[in-house]
Amino acid sequence: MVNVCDQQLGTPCTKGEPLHVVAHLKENVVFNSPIMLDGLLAWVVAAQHRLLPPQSGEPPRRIEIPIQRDEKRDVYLCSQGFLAQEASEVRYKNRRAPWVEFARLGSSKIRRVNISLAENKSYRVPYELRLGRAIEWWCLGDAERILELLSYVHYLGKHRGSGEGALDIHGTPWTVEPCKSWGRGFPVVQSGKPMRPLPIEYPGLRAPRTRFGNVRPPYYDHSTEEMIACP
Amino acid sequence: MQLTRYEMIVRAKQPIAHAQETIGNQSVLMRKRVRLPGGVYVQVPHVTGDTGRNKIRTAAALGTLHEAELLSDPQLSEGALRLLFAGGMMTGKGDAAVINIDRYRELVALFPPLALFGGCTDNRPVPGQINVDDLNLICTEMQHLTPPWVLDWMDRNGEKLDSCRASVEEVQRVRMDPVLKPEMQKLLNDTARANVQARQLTAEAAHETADSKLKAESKSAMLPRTHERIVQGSLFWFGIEARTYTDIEFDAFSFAVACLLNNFRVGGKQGTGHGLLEFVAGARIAFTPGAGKLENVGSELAPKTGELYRAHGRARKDELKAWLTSAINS
Repeated sequence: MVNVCDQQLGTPCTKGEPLHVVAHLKENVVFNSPIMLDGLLAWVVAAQHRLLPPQSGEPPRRIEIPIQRDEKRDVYLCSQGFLAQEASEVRYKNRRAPWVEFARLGSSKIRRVNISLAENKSYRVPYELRLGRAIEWWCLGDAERILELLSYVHYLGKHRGSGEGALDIHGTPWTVEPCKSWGRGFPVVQSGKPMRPLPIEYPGLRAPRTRFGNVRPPYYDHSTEEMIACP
Repeated sequence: MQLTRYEMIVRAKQPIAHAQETIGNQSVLMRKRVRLPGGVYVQVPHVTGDTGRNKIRTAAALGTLHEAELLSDPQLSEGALRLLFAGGMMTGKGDAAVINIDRYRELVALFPPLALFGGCTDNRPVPGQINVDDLNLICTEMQHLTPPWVLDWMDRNGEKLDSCRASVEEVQRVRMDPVLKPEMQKLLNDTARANVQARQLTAEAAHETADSKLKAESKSAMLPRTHERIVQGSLFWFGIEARTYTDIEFDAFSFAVACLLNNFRVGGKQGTGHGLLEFVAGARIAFTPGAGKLENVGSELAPKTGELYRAHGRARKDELKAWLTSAINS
């Protein structure tokens, strides 16, 4: 039996050209931190192998994606996602304890369900819905393989399960096109500013903003956060 | 890994009262901002994807319990019920009943909808594999976002597109105060009847003297209120997409969609003739990278929908019952 941990996941990038990647949105999108192209591609490879997302603190598997990597600093050469946000609105996520089902289907041992505390507490959490038409990235990678992996991605951002961040799947959900490099630093540094989370000592940066975060997927892992330069 | 998407047109057999908020005694329909070509934003009524997802989760759970012949005497444990109908809850409690990741995988094999909708193990949420879109009103404001096949269907069937405003109406309902009726007052005991009559006299006097404080104190419990609703007969389109890995998962997905369409109700006031939707037309799109193939879906999703899944449910019903009635910590 093959141990899944020994398998190589994905195929590394062997050729890279400057690319402009655009996701065409049909629905509005929700995110608290920028959507990362390397994270999306790694998710597709993980989903193809039916891997669960790693927990915070768990050593992540190396997943190869068709984007070039700065081997020295272990950073993928792609920018973060930029949304030309036209407006936003506050919406709410509601959760209601299934009290009707508790009454109808629950065991007779369930005498009392407290819906204002603990596991069955109901909630109404606000979130910001961002209104815009497209999210764009720049990267160095293999256009054909990037498009092949991205064709599995039809929703972006948070609350995808309930339809937020849907892409225009009846039209053109993704475009991946060769573009002109802006020169030194492409695609992660432009005019001394980082275009994605980068190590502070990354060459070409001039007085960037800093914060705690990750420079490679999984970006949500708090246990590996360090001081980074960010856009 | 297979991506499959069902898209459907559904008709409101009853008015839909899916409210966003209540202002005073008026409830306002759920609306979202939609960008029109040209950049103007408008508010369009819709039914949220959260509602659709909750309904399909409930439909899948009830359908499975029915197939496993557990509905007559379900006796579900609190944790199992929460996992089936609300996705569970991370408890962080470390007793033997906690669902660890291996146990979760066993449960997914036993009850495939758990993989589709996601759930919680003892220390992590497990994401689902299903995306449910908003139910979008088919109207001129949404025309540029409506799938081409839906617009074709509208054209072929002589259905006209109109503004979403034509699909919204406001109605008033009044909860009456029963003690205002003389025949009901006869049912009261002497003290209560005397109190009610005294209150009515006070209200009358307050009205004559225009004493607003006294009027407020003596007013009846009658409650007039208004609500917006989407008119009966309106058409919606929506999509449900799933990522499946096995035949049984795919069949469970189709089974869940069929269960949903069998009795599709959304929104409030369902006890008073609101919320019923009926399936009108549908399409199934099996995605291969870069291209989608669109097939028509009949009123029954497919002749053999759910056959594999139902057989699975019947074969493992004892295991399923043992699990659902055990003390699951979720």
